[in-house]
Amino acid sequence: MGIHVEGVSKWVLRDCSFELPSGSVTALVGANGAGKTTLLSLLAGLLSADSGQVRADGRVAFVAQDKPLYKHFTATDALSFGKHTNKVWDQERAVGWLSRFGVPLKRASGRLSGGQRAHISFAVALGSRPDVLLLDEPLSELDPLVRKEVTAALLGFVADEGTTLVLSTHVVSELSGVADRLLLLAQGELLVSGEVDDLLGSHVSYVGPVSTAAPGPGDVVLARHTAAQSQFLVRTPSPVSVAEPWVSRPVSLEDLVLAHLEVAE
Amino acid sequence: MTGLLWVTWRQHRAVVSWTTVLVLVVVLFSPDLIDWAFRNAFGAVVAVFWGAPLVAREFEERTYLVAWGQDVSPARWLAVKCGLLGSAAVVLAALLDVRQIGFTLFGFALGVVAGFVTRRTVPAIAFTLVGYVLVRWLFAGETSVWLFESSVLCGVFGAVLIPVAFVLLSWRTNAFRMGVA
Repeated sequence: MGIHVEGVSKWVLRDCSFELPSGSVTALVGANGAGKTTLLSLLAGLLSADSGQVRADGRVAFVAQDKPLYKHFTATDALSFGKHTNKVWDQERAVGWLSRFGVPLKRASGRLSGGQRAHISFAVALGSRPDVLLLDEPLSELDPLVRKEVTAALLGFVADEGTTLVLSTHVVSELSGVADRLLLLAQGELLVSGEVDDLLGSHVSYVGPVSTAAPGPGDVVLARHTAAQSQFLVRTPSPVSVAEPWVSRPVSLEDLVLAHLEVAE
Repeated sequence: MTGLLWVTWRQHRAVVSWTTVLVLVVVLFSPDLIDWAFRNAFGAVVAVFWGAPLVAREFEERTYLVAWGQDVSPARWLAVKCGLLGSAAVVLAALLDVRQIGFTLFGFALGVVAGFVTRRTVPAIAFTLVGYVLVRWLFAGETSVWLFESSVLCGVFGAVLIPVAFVLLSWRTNAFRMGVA
């Protein structure tokens, strides 16, 4: 097991329990203030839980949302810092990341762009060859054009090494094709936890004439009504086909997340 | 240099260097009046420029998330930094006047604790300066207080404040977690 969390409470977080297998890639989603950063800080060992147990197997690296760095350190200094504070250090890997994204090595990080600083933070985290990598809003400082490339590169690294990756985001559109597991937090409560494939298989959308009740089985997550039609997003272990004039449609990960978040508001 | 020795030197080399140069200039060349003033101010210099920013700046610039997020445990990070900088300050204090050792240790420890309390550099400096001057004033003079000379008494205060810093650290973070590089 890569990560094991049982009955954890801390600040906004209430009684969270889940397990993430090693080598899994998990998206942690939720509105701002839902407890994503608190949860990641607990997993990183930067905070102690008020109650419950947190266990991350192996060495953990954490990149905070605002990508803090010592202003006077150059990228080279930051990598030396990583080398001197970690049991394992892969200089080649860290330098490789910086050169791939064109980060100058000899300029103080206070004089670099937000994106360049983010790359230095990633390089330090990847250079320490962690067993568990925790990234808080990793793409927030990056130019939209390079987000896809950075995501692909990060996923490539963790796939090669069998690293357990947890990344938080509130940009739901960035999720598709990235994560194989989902954790959805709302106001400190874990609403959804599981494999993306299972979650997509157990949610379905019914669309049909205006109605107050869903035409098929399942717990209604979100109901939407317009003058002409009703739409129900339901959670059910085994979606069934519904009678005409209703149609059932599969949901995308984005639909699923947005529905749960909207209801939790 | 390896490990936290490298980290400590890289982060604090500027302030350690200029303080050392200042001490050497005073010891070797300075006229009596400046000499006397600096000797007595040295503890305050270490308190304000070495102790107070040590953790306050990490909080202020949020780099504590980097410093305490590596394999090295936060407790070890603080122990090595306090050990190395505290020792260097003691050596410099001894060069000026043996009596300054106690005052300097107290000032340094007070600064570190102030950093945990305020989490901001400028307030930590202000808090430290006020506390330092207050204690020096309360226990001023050559006369002994409670059988101790004030320098020794301040040294004892400093020795008590350092464990306080570790308690404050463990409130802020999982300070003693496993994993030592």
